[in-house]
Amino acid sequence: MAKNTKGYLALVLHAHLPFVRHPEYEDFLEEDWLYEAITETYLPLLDVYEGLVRDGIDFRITMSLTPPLANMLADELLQNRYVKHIRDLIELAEKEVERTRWMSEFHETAKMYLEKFERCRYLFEEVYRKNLINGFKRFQELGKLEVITCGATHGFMPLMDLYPNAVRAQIQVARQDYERHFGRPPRGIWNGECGYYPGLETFLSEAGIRFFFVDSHGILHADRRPRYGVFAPLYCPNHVAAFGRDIESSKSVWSSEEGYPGDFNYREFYRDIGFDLDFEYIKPYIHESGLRTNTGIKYYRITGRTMYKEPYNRQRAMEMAAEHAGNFMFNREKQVEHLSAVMDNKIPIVVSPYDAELFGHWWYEGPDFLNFLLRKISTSSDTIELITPSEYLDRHPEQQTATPSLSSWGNRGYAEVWLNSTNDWIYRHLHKASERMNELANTYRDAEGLIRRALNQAARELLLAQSSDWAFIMKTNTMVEYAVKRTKDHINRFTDLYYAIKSGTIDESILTSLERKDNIFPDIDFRVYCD
Amino acid sequence: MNKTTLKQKSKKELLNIATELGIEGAASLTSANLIDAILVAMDVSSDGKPGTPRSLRLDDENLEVRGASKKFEVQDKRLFAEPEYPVDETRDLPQGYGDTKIVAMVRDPYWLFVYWEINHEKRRELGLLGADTSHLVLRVWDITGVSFNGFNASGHFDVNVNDITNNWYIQMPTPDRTWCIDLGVLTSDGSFVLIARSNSVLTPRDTLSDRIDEKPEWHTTTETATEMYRISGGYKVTELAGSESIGALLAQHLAANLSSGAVASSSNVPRKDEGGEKGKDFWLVVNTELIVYGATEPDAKVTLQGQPLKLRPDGTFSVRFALPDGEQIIPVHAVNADGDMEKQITPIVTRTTRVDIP
Repeated sequence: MAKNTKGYLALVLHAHLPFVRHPEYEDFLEEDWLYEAITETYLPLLDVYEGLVRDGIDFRITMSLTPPLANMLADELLQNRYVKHIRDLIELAEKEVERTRWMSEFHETAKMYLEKFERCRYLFEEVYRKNLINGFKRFQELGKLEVITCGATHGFMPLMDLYPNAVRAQIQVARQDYERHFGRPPRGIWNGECGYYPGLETFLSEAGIRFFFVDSHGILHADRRPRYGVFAPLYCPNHVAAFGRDIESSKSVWSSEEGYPGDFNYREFYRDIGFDLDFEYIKPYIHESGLRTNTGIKYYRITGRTMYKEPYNRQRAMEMAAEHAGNFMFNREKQVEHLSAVMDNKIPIVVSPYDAELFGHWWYEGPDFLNFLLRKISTSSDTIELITPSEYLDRHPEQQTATPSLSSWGNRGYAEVWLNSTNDWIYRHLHKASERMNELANTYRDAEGLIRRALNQAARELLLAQSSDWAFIMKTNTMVEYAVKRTKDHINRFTDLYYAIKSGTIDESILTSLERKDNIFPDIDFRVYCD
Repeated sequence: MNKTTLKQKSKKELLNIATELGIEGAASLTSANLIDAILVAMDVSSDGKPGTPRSLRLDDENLEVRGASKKFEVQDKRLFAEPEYPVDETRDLPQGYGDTKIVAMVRDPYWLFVYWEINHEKRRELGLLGADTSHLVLRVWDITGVSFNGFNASGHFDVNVNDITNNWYIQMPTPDRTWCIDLGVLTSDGSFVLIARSNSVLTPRDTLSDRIDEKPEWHTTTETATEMYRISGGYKVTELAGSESIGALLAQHLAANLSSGAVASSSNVPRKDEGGEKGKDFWLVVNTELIVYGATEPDAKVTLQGQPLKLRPDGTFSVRFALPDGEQIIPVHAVNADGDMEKQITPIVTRTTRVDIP
């Protein structure tokens, strides 16, 4: 290797959406989360990787694809709905190219959208044959991308620790689901919300998982004192490795104040033609009820902290993305240079995790930034080397042993986001359901036929109720109704199944309907909840 | 016998009833369909409430066919052949589960959350003891380093709570300690009556551990430890606030734009915090668009400003343009299919905008 590696950079993108699949409605708003993320984040990222491979650029990146997201990506109903969605968008973009003919300040941008949407459709239908997992799998097999898993439904583990069987099920179901999609077990995991409590590693180890991530203070407050801070992983006493988040690099992207995404040349998120254009014209492309929604076509740049917005200039935005990528790399080089001075001979690893949806969906130029960054590091950095956690552990198996501290990457670093007056009411129900699921699994361990189907469905309902997303949404105080409904619905469905199983009154038609609706984890085996 | 009582019966019992009523082919029915068949045979209308997650649309049809068992079979199959997704109304969750217990959860180094439930039997029992359950006490035991038996804690403090609530946040004096919480009541003579004891919980430390690795390669001096802590951003941990800053924003704008609930336009309505003068605020946006439409022979070739136009199958066309200030000369040129006849019509449109300031 030509490089004189002074430090490693592990970029980690956490791709997650809650399981939002509503076959009972033709047009369901929350499903748009998935379609927007596919168009703006997942496909653009895959396209970046395609380009890098094509150009012979060696890169490493780690991505968690959470089981709910993987299940949605592999779901035929949602796949077909996406095809319709992207075709509609192409139609709208075609009209936009025409409509903006006399407005040169928007015309180029309109053409950009048309081109991008057409590319999305091509990649989605023809390259990945409607299943994006095929794409992620390809780059994993090429050794460029390490795909890791996440708790089965992104459960927040520190608030589940009283029910070890529930924690085990989150991990085991995730592992099995990963194998179904990727044909091999996962090496690593991103625990939902980066949530960790001492003891979680037991279940990770049971599932053959070698590493996970914690927020900085999870490492810094570990028992014993970490010798190298967050710049080296720690082994839990059972030898599962914990990597700590680097704050400096996180901040440059995350922070809404100082972060790159706030640059005035980048695209403004809040000016979408779904809201700005004439109602009759835009009506076919927003929600069928006539509710104005984002279409994804936005013509302005952030401009400044004003209401007045100037037209987006793609070329200028690309220049900024390249500049920011250069700045990010420069800062990492300085950082590792400084670190190697205080870390003796140890090569520091800088772990930079982000929500994947930040790139593209929120920060429109995010995938381009990554593209520039990966290219720059691969071709022009003498000191920084991209790495995945697995590779790092293979190369540097000797690490300190210490137990990380309870932590998360939520506001204030612990469980407050998921445990406060807006959402604390859910835990008595989640706990009761966990207890009951354990009871059912032990009682009906050898069940067959209908009872077994009901038990498997009960497990699905419990898992869906445990998504940390619902508590998070309740906290953010928007769209609360949907999160409350999802929590109640899954708990109620679980409880109905619990009583039906115990009283021997399982109604097959109801069960079938639930199996079709909440069809996550087709191969689940409820016995994961047995003692 | 009504639906509710039938639902409590086992499938075997239902089969017996069905056989008595002479319902043929009962054995092949599911319990739910059996119940419906029985109700029909007994001429009792079933009471499938709307809102419960039932996909048994069979009810009405069953009334027509009156226990004709073959029909049930057919309908049974139809039911499973065609996906049906009933939209169920959300039911509230129960207030409690008939337990007497208290559960403790860690929120952060400084706060615990507890929730509890006291069932009727326990309340009755407490009443007999003369305990006033309207005033509950949370006795918080510091059980760090001991296997707690009720008597060996290193200390405790009490939190008085009322019985109107069933949960409480408790502020903890010191991080990195193990705690156990007793829920109880004080009797009139001041003695503590235990209702339930919680699980034990360990709050996380909020700083560097005191324990130093003894292995030389991981040993740290106070200087190196604090230096690594500083470089790792240890003093900024609370400042960064995790993924919250953008994560929350992300959720909010997703919500604002996508929620099925009431949605406010988040884009072209100025938000209070974004510029503008203090106090009153008013705004107006006016845009213009131009629709150029027409018709010709369906197989003709048409251009507008030199660019090809797509004709509908009936030969009509329409194009919509955002119309900026200025003059637009819009030649529409058509050539017939044989290419030997042509027409051109050129609308000229001028937009000027005046902003009237009263």
